[in-house]
Amino acid sequence: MEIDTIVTLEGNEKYYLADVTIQNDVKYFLANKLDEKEELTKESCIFEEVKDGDEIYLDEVLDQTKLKYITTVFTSSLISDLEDEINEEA
Amino acid sequence: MTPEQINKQNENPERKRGIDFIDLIEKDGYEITNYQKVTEIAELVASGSKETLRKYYSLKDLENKMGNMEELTTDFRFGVRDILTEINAVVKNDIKLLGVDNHFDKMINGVKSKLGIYQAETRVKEAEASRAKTRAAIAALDSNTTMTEKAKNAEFRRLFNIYTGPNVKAIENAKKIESKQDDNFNINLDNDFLDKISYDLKNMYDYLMVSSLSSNAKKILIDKFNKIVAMRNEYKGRLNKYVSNLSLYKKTLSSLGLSVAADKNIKKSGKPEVSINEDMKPSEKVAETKEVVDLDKEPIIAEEAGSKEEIQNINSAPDLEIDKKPDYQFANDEEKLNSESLDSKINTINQEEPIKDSPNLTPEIKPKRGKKVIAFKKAIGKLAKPARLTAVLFITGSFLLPALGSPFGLVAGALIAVALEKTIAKKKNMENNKDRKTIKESLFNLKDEIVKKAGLSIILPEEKNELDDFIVEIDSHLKEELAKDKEAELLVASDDKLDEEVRLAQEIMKEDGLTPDVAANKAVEMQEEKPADFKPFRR
Repeated sequence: MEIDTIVTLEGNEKYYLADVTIQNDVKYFLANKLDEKEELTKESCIFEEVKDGDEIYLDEVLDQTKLKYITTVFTSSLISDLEDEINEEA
Repeated sequence: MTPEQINKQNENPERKRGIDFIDLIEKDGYEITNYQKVTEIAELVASGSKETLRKYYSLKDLENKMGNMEELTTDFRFGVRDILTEINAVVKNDIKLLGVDNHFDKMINGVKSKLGIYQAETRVKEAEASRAKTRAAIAALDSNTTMTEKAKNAEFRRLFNIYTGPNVKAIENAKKIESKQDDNFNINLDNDFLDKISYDLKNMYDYLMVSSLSSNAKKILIDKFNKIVAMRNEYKGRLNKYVSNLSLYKKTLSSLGLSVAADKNIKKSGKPEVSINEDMKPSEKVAETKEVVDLDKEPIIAEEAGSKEEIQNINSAPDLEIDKKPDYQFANDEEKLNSESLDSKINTINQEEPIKDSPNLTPEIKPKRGKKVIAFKKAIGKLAKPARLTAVLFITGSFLLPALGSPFGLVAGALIAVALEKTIAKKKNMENNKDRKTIKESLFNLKDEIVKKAGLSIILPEEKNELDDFIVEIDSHLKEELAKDKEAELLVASDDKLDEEVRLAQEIMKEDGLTPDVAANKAVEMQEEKPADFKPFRR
């Protein structure tokens, strides 16, 4: 699974995979929930990718310690990208 | 006793000691069950055997040592109730409740039910709802066209009887339970029962520990369960001491040929139970208050009384079985394997799942794999940047809103949000301004939510201070940002006024043929003649 992808999960829930990080060989996605029109909602979460044969599952990270850590990774990455953009603009 | 008899008795002090001893037995509330034995003992006492007297007095000593088991049991039950209530609050207020469902409610209510501490609030509500239902049934009679007047009258009397009798009593009883005045409880809170309760608690604990609750909530829960374990151990220790003393007490009584008189205050030596009003059978369905009248059934008071009589019979059940093995008898090997003591289990789990500062992100075997991806496609359009920003803010926000989370983590989350805001503030394009606006709105919302949640949370005083500091900080930051915006607006307004000066100077130059410098000065003078609040911007 890659970023900039819209995934449909069981229960017809749709998410936009906005960012990804790999920690200890596990992929974590920063995801936004999408509405029926596939537009962004404010609801977001972090998924852990779980592969079972050919099937892919997205398991929401709920453990607070892990969640905080992964969020920090995504936040740092976002800030870093924004800083790069600022430097390019200057 | 005549003076002559008294004199005669005084002449025989041994006889007096014997009679005094018999009087003492009666006065202390004992009954003679073995006259031959008591005669032998009285003779020994009369002969001056201090050892025999000491044996008798040890009875009273034992009574005092045993203490009030009923009170101890009640304290234990309600102590557990308080902690279970706290556990329930931790679970229910956790921000990530997913995965903890009705099963937890059944488990916790099952334990409460077994201990006779099923939510008192629920009882009161149920009882009140039942009374309201009766009242509604009475009101419905007015519009009932299917019943004859006679039938209506009979039904009214029946309902009115319920409304003013059993319904009221049910509410009163529920309120008594709520205020810990409940003594209608008849479980032998012995070692067997404690082990069964421990087994249920262990299951509940295991269930919560593998649930999706936050690690912070789990940490708090471990502490709560440990408290129950400590409470249980203390109760168990006192119970064992009580049982041991009771055994000795009975043996001493028997060796003296005595028993406890029926009218003697048995609280100190009696069993720790009185009557019952809880469903003691472990059940998926939560026990209901017996007193709550079900309107669908005939309110036959006599039957209610009958059941109470039956309850009274339970009261006369044997005392604690002191010869019974203290260990819980397992139904099978599997149950035995699964029923490690809660405290040892907690220790094991503590070792398995240490709360660390840095998380171990090693893949773990999970009981669930999440949701299956059934379709995916590449997104069209530029969603990435706003999506990342929204997502980071949303998730960071979730750290700011834990009802029971650490305010320190909360502040850390807020600082991340503020750092983001400051970074984005450095950007100058329009898209960036939109992002800034979104962030500011989010921060305002977060602040409101934090204040709201803080009022509902269990927050320690020092944490409260930290939270207050954070709110002040975020407030001041937001004000700073608003001030920047206002300054920017003023700059724009000033630029407009400068444009006006330039336009005026150009007109003067054109019309009066003045040099640019002179025209500019004249334009400024003309602008200064405008109202006092108008200040022309000078570069």
